[in-house]
Amino acid sequence: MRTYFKMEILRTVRNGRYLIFTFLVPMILFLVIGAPNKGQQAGAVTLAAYYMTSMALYGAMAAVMTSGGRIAMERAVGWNRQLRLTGLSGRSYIMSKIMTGYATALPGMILILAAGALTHSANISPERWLGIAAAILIGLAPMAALGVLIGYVATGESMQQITGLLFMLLSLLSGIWFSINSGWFLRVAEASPLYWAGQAARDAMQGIWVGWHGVAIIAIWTVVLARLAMSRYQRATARA
Amino acid sequence: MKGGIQISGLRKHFGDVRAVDGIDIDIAAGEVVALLGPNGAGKSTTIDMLLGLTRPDAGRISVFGMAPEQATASGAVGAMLQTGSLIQGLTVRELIEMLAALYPKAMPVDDVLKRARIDDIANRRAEKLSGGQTQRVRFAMSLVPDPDVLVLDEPTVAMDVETRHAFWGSMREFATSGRTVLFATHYLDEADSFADRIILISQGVIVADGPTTEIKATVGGRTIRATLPGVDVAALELLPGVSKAEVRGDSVLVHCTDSDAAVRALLADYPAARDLEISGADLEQAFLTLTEVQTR
Repeated sequence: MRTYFKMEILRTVRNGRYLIFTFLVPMILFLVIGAPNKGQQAGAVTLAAYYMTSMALYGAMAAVMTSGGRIAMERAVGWNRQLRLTGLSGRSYIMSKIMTGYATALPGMILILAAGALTHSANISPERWLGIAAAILIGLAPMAALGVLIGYVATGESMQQITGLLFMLLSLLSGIWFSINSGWFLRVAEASPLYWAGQAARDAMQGIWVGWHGVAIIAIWTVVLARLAMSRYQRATARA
Repeated sequence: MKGGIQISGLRKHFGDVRAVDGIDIDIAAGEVVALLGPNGAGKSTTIDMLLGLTRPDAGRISVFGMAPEQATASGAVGAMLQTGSLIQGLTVRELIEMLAALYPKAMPVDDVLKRARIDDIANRRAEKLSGGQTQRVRFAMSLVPDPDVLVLDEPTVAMDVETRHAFWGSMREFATSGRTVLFATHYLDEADSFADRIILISQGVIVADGPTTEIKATVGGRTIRATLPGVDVAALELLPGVSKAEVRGDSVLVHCTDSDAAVRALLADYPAARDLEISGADLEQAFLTLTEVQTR
């Protein structure tokens, strides 16, 4: 199992898209939009601090979501059938995809937070840094489930478009790009799966507890998407 | 523990299509068996059920005393599926290592590479392989669990001549080590040159099952067609190498067990014979005939 997991990570890291979307894009956006704007406020925090958490979340989300989505590509080439001939259970297969997503999300996230610290975008205690990281990783749970769901709904070809579209839509609603303050947009955003990850990360930066309401939304989305993913998985294996 | 493979009353329908319609097969350990039949005969469905990839509607399958899923997961069965490709991002060696890590007692990676004759491309990335090389790697994957039974679903379909040759070479090596091999094919030649036993399958049922030589005599002979008016059928059937003769207007159709001998004798005895045509076994036709006989 360890070798299998190692190979999964190796495959991911060797993919050019991984490097672009979990390292390059978020890092460049942070350095261009975030870091130079320490004097400007975005809600309760500076724009620099805001973009640091946002881009850390963006990169991690890209890694977590595409890892699950890769199931679609493997189904397209019949790799799942090949794996079903081994002792690897469907459950372990899906778990390994989620774990790979998280494992490959970590380095990019840490790098962005490190860049934030080096540029003095946030001057906070070690506990608060850890709080940001924890908020992002836990807040991404619904995205991990969504990735797996895409993996069993999409075809090998449509997977990238579907992931891209949902990625854009959910990140808009999440407040990654701009602070969402009021109105109907806020109400929709607050019910969306990714909003509370960003909110929790920014709150953690200020040493504030995000509250059970946000945690509940994250938990509900995780359960609902995971349920959907499981039923699609069962249908896919029954048909094969 | 009971060795070999036992299949009884196996059935699988997809809607109105009776893909597999009551199949019984008993294969002893160490046998090399070809599952021969035209496209759509039910070969792949049978194999998928044997591997635990598809659940049968009815029937029982036992592989070395185990249920199919259990047999494959334990590594007792290795398989090369009909369709499928490789995942990207890993070298051939890494791919084999990855699969080996999932079996309880895998064959050492170097042995797999050598047996499947892919040690020369071990460090090449999967996405850079040619079609033939990909097939060789897929064959290698079936060897990874160091299986007692090897199941191959039309393994040579996507292979070029050279790869095919190398493939049967490695297969022979594998089979001589006393292991059981079951392969599906729609080429009589392949079944003939490699299997000890042929199971003919058509429209979801077994139409013949026996030693290769026997099956080949039933369906595999060549046919000579010639224009030869007013000939005595009984006399034709006495010629060497001839099993059966038919008259169709001015032409005769001579079914042969040995067409070389038959054609020499035919021309010697009947110099008037002209427009000679010799054709190989037409499997589709043979299957049709065999199934018609059965349903009648």
